[in-house]
Amino acid sequence: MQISFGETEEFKKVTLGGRLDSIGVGKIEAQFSAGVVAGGRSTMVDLTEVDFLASLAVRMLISTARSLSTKGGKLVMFGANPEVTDTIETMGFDDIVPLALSEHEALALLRS
Amino acid sequence: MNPPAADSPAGDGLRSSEVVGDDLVMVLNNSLASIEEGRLRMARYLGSDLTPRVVNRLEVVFEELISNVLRHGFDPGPGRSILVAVGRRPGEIQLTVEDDGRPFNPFDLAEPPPFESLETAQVGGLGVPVVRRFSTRTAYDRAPASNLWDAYVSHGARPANRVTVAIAA
Repeated sequence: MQISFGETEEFKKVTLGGRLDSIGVGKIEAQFSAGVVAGGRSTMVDLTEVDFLASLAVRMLISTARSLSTKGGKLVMFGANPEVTDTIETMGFDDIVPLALSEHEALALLRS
Repeated sequence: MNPPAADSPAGDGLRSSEVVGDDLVMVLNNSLASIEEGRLRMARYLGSDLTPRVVNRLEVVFEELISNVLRHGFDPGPGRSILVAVGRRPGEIQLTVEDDGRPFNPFDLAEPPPFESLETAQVGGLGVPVVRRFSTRTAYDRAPASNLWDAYVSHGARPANRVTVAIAA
């Protein structure tokens, strides 16, 4: 499981890679949550290199988005492959943590 | 009956695996490593003719069912195990998970409410609903003394939770 943080002038960007399963989430959850919430800036989560996503990852994403929202920030995901998209849409949590097709679309959502 | 000889090297998570008839039967240890080792063994058994969508759905269901047993069915520590059977059926893949932990029917749990806002969103208990939604059939029974379980794990005649699901292939 890989995680890296970047910044644009407007937003924070987190890039995840690998399997967001029980082991993968356990390895990055604290770093992800602390890194996103610190500063309260709206954040894009790049899922392009994520191969798999389980319910523990959904818990992590919702909890982090909730903490970020209390500081006025928004969390948006983008770039999920068709299988990860199937999981996200079946669970329905993209209703509250939006999933964009591209980084360009994610930026537009964060600016809206 | 003695436990079967393993057809792949034992790791921290996978105690044994073998193909019985046309089905793969695995015994997993009480550890998170069992999910990854079991997944890889299952992928090798199923081959490469399934679509990525079906493989993903099967892996999600496998992950959620096994992690559910590890988190809620057992206390941490050695000496407990989970029996998994995977089989191809006409038009579907059948997955059976047996554990001799605390009695627990995951399909008794109510569906979580729809996600409406970050403030009200339920963050726990999301695994079983996705198992239901990815499966064409789900079933649970509390087996009073499972012959299959006893034969493979040699725990004696313990009652077992048996969850069976099918995923459309």
